[in-house]
Amino acid sequence: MRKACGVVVIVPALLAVFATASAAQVSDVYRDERMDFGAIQTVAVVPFANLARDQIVADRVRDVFISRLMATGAVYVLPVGEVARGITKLEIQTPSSPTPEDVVKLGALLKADAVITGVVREYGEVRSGGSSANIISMSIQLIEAGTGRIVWSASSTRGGISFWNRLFGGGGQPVNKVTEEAVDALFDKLLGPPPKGR
Amino acid sequence: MEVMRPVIGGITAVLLLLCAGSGPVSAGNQPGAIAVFPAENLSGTSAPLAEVRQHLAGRLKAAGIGVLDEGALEAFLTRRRIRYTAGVDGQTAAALKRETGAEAALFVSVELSSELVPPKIALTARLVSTEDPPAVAWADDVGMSGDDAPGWLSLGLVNDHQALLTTALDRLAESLLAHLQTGTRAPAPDGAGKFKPKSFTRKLNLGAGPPRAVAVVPFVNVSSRRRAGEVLALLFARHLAALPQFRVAEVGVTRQQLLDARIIMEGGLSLADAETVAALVDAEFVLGGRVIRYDDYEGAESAPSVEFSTVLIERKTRRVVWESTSYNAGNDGISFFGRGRSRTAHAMATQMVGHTAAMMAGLDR
Repeated sequence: MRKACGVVVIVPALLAVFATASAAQVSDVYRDERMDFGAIQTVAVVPFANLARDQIVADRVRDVFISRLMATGAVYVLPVGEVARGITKLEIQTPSSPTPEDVVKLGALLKADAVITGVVREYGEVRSGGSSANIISMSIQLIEAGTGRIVWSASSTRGGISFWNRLFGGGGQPVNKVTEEAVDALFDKLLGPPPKGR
Repeated sequence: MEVMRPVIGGITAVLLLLCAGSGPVSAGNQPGAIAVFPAENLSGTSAPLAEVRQHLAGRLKAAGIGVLDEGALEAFLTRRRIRYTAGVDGQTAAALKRETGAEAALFVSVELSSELVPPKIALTARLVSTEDPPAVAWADDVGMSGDDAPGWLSLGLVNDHQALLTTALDRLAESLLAHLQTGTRAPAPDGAGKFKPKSFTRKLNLGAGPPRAVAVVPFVNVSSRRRAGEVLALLFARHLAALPQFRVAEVGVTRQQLLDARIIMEGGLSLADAETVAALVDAEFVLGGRVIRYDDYEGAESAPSVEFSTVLIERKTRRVVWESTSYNAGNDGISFFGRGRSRTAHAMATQMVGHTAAMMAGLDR
């Protein structure tokens, strides 16, 4: 009887702890609730910032991102050459992290409704012990061209060394496949239902 | 087909003369002849350019096709102070016909030439009419490695660069002769499904009707391979020329217009640049893109890799109507005994571009 009482007390206590933890969960997605995302028809994707070792990575990820974003049919993406022309014309010093004023000017010049910036934090092969696998970690911000405000932001990490990699070895997925998955995960966050949590 | 008619007509005239017992004139100006221009070197290393030119000219002569005398062509180039010999603009094409009687011009680009065992070679060629504006009548390409087909006990290995070069040139010459005799376009290689674009957007409705004019501009090159942007542009011109849906503006015309308009595409093809180029060469579409990787290797053990993105801009709407990303490595999808392995970047790139061009045209091979 005493054992049963213990279970009755401990289980609700544990549930309460988990419930508190989930309520305090911090999402990696920010979405401005006041923003009408349906109004965004044309976007400009500026060069991504590159924190990875390989200098060409940002260009590669940006191309994949643009191509797959166009393929969703959700928005029209301006050609990279047109964005480059705008950046040159406005003499934006750091195109990968433009100021709100730069975004407003760029949006007006290119007739874009929003500007997308991105950061590639990690890209390529990671090793742990005898295992290795490809990983990509990136984040994206959608900035409204009219106001220069960030209206959506998300990050995505895919690949890396899994439990099964450690157990059985193997090199994980090809880096291009991992990149596609990471980009698609971002689109799910952008185009999917609003995230739960805070 | 309209484009090819004058070229075929001229060549047919030469063939008829030959059948009547009068051999082709080999010196001086010659009506109906083909001007074989000096080969262009896109390999970034030394390449057997003179040999390429001589071999193709020799094969054409042997088949009874009139070839403009090399001295006459050199004199024309000197007289007109022409230094760029990898293409021709409208004025030069017309002058070539007027002054030498040449009916068409043959341009060959050497993309890769490696003598290290196993040797490797990659070539792209096109036949252009000498009218204003000139039009691409035929285009083809070939990329080979000495270990493409080693066979049993490696008896099929080719270790002699000269032998490989001759095989590659013969293949090009046969394709050209087949075109001159029958008027057929060079067929696109049977690209494996793995070479299709990894993602694409198509908002292009070509419908039925006459071929649509396309100008291909050099791709922006962010790869470590020198002149990879020009290589990709040539491959797209070659594959689009093989499709009846498109009429490709001669690369030399587009280049000249880019120079005249002082257009430098540092970050890629902008809408303003596309509009200007399209207006100058009278094209409905402008095709460009970026090359991220174009890596070959020397020797036996490695894998080439190619990665590029393509954009097609419509002049009328100033909108992107095609956007795609393609990437492959030489060891993608290989099966037992290395079957399906690609040993040159060209061998992959031509299939990747072929698929992209076909899908652009609404065909899904």
